[in-house]
Amino acid sequence: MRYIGRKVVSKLHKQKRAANLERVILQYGHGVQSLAFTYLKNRHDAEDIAQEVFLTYLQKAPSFANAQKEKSWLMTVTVNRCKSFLRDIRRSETQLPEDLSYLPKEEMDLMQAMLDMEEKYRLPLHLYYYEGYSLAEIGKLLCCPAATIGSRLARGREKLKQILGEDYYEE
Amino acid sequence: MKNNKYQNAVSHLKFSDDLYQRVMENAPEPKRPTRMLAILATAVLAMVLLVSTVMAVGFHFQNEPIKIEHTVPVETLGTVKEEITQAKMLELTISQMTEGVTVHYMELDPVIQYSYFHGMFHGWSSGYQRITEDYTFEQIEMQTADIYFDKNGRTYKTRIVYLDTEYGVVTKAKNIYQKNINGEILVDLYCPQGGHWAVYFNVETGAYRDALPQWTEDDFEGNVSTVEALKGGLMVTTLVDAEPNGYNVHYWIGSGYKEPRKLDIPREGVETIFNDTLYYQNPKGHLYIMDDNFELQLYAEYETNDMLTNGLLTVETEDGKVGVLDALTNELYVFPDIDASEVEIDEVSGMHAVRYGTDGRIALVLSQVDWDELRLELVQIGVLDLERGELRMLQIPYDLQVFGAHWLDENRLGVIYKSEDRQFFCIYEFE
Repeated sequence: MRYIGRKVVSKLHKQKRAANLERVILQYGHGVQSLAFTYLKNRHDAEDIAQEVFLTYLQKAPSFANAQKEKSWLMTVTVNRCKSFLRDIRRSETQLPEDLSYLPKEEMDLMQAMLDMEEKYRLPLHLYYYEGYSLAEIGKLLCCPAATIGSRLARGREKLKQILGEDYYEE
Repeated sequence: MKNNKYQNAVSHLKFSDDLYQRVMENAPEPKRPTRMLAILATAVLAMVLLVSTVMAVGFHFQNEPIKIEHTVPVETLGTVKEEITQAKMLELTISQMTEGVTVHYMELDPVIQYSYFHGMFHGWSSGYQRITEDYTFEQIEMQTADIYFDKNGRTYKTRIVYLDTEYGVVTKAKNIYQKNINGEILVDLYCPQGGHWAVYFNVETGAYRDALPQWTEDDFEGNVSTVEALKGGLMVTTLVDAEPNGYNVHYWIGSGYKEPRKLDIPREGVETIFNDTLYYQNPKGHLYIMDDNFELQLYAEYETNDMLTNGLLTVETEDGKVGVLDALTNELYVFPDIDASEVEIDEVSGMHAVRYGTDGRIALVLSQVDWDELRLELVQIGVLDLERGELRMLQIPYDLQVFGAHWLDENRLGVIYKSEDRQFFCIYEFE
């Protein structure tokens, strides 16, 4: 068996880690940031959360049976990081409104209406209509019964319809 | 799922391009994972407290003593700091109250989430608090512990904590059962890699053993999502085809771990286990009960948007009033002053009865939300005394929402109230 020096093994290991992280960020980076943005309503905070999530991924180096479980893990970590972040924010802090002017008008109106909604409607809507999770999966992510998620989806959609005047989730 | 307008909008959101670079700049050297089981001494203490106050669910295990296959020493990680803060108590009498009830209010930090388990109210934000019998706060900072299990070559990493961590809240009160004859309790664990597994935990030694040692996930269709005690055995629920049309499959494993029996439960509705009995609710709200032959029998044919919670179901009665069906006693409690046509019965936003306590005195909490004004229009707490056949209704200020409630002892009911920016812990003392 050919002997490979420690430094070379270490370097190969680092390269493998880096390659894996790159794959994960390419595959899930936008999804993690979007979910964090939906939660926190601020792009810079969302980017910070995403950095923490992938740093955790790198540190813990978890193994997964399949891609679905890997994604589920990342989403769960993101949700919990966002919750911790919101708990740490002082109530006296005020957030500047997010600048979405670069989006086409229709998309900007929709996104703004979403950000103005309560979290309990905003998050299930995002997870269902953007990530494509089922009610049961959203329930697990948000620690809520699936029936409650269904109810919140219906109400959230109804509220958006009232604000925007049409059904923006039509496919 | 086909593209919808929201998907397009989100896909156009701009974030920084340097995420990978930022992560790598901050990345430490990886740690070698340790393969030992460890648990906090305080978690063991909390488990002991839980066992002494947990609801009786009639859980019986097999007749022969179970052999513990391996014992793992209990280790303590980190330190537990305790500080005691005296809370400011306000004495307040509400004029609408029924005679013979005194109300004490204590204002709480509004950012801390409180709920009841393990014999008292607990709250957590960045730390961990406990409201004691003397109405003081104990501030405890808990470290978390990683617990590794080997399961046919795969490692499940879990944490038993009472805080939200990046792995989620691992144990919930409903998934922890009364200890069996060997002094163990069944603990349903959430695994961050996905799915659930279950162990028997010995509160005295801290030892864990697999609750399903003969089975792997390959023996079940789908991924295991929960393991619960039912009819002297275990019910394993799996999730098949996570997206977009995921559905649950249920198995029952009896004493002695014989062949898992697939349960015939329709996919469309919701099932729940209460008092060691499985109930199934179809989308219309009709309630079914599983008999000893594992067949579903129609139990109540009310059409309702409420969901069975701790054996209680809120319904509209035949004469148009709001009623609460109690699966524990097979009784229907009717509220004669509440017209069902004027309220919304719904688990999320409307009238919804919740049981706190399993003895003869039940506190029924009914809340109603005014969706036009987006505030709580009416909150009522009913104290139901089954021995005397009395239902005493207490009126609460309408700008407060009930967030949790539990009997502290035979005569005192603790309730958490919230408004938009304030939070109170309220104790009702009944004569």
